[in-house]
Amino acid sequence: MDEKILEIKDLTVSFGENRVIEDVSFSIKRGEVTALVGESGSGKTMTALSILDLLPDTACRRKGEILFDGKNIFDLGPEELRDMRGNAIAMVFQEPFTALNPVIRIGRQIAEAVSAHGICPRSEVRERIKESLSTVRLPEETVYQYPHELSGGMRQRVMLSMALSCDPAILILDEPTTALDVSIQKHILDLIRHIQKDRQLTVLFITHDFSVVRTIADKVCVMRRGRVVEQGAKEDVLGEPACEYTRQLIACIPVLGDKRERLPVVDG
Amino acid sequence: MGKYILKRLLLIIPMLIGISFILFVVMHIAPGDPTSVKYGLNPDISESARSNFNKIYGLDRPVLVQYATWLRRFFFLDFGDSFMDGRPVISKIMSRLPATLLLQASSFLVIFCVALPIGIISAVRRGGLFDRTMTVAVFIGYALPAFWLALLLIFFLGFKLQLFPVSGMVPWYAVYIGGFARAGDLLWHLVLPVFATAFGGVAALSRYSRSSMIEAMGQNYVLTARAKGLSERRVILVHALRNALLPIITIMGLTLPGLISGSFIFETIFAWPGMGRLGYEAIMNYDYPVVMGVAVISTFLTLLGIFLSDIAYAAADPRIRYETRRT
Repeated sequence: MDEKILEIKDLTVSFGENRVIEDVSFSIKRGEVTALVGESGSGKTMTALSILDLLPDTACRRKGEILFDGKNIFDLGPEELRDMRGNAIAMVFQEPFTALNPVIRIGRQIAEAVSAHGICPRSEVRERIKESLSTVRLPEETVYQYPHELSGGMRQRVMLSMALSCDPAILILDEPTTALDVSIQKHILDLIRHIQKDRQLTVLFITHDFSVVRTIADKVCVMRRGRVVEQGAKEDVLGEPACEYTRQLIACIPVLGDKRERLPVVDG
Repeated sequence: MGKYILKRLLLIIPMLIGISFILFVVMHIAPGDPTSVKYGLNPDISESARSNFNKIYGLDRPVLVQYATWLRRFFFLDFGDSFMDGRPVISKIMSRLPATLLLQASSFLVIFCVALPIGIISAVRRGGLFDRTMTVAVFIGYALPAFWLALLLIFFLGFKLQLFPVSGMVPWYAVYIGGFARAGDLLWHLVLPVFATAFGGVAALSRYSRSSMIEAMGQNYVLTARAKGLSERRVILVHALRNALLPIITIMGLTLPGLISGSFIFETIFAWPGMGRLGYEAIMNYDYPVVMGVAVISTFLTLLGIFLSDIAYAAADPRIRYETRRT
């Protein structure tokens, strides 16, 4: 299990002259959970979108490559790229309230993901949707519902089931719990951890929260101002952070019984 | 949903009564009266003949009393008789309504079928050659007075190039040609009036659908759809368009009043034998019963159009559906 499934090399992305990602390099191993940590604006989401080649039109990729299974995804044709998205690499977004289409039933939205890649015959699509809903512990009837009828946590489960419906090789989770309230966060996190263990999933977990990193990650990659400032095994990074910035971030985790009046200010 | 529809339908009645009252009062406040047109130009008509006319049609009574009389008959769909030729107003309108509905429906269809693709393509290829060309064309379309455009069309396409008939709907020779040829001839007569009436609507709606599409395409669910690996075609035509259509439905409902009031002008310019032209002639002749009849029918059509667009909106947007869901 030491095989690199995804490798990002010297990725640089800019909006105009403003470089939001600079010389980012890291790799993801099969079956591992890699946490990409950093503050807002540190380039985490842009890195994730680069992996799917779904950067906004205004963004410009200056250099670098992303190797998935040894092939550079920027060399893929539009059709190969389309088939890769959702099928090989799936992504769950931060905002479950806006990430689902409000006028299409849940069942249909999941079905689209399944049938876009022709991974199972038409007659089995229904069965597969039910299965993926039960994986995230949603009732079968959810297929007939519209997004506005579901709570934030349920919507995020739908997103998760949609992402899992094609059995992706890599699952990218972009702050999947940030928009949810705290009690739901724990449920979703537990669910993700359970599914990950169960299926030996390869996960890229984007977060700004070191307490989440502690529970879920195998490997940590810290980003600041578009650059990777530190990476390594979770124990090393959390135990003995080499970088001052990482230390500051870790110091910001509030602990129960904390007597501090103010959290330390991080020099972002 | 059924209850909501019924409620909205019943609401049309008080609205219609209120609007008809305002129309009636405004019409009577306007300077001039039927006798001044019918008898004013003839010096031989005596004062007694005038007052006799007023008496016969009840024009000597207070406006409110006249309105009450009008309203009572209106409930039995009786709009009275025309001052001009004594024919019942309802039969005059009914003979003109099909021509108007044909023109309106064609314009409506053209607006929808032309403006929507323009809007979608402009939004998808934003900033491209097509988008920029259309932006200029649309602003020219906005700025052109439509009646002037109608006159230009008549002059160049109708008179100079002789491509299309300049006026009318069914020419004298129509009775001599077969069914298909007659239908073709009708379409041929429709071209210029539809072009003129639809032009402003196409300009406006293509702009609305462009901005509506651009907004929808920037939404997170479109990113989700792309990340699922859907084809670009599906992302645009299913995910973005279905959401972009919602505001467009409302706007389509709002273009109806413009089309109907426009019919007064365009039916007159193109000598189209419709209700608008009937109304225009009635106004010029102070033919009160016909004016009221045309105005009320136009109001009703407008209210009906807005009602239909509300229903369509409710049907298209699950968030405001009133039915109980299947679970």
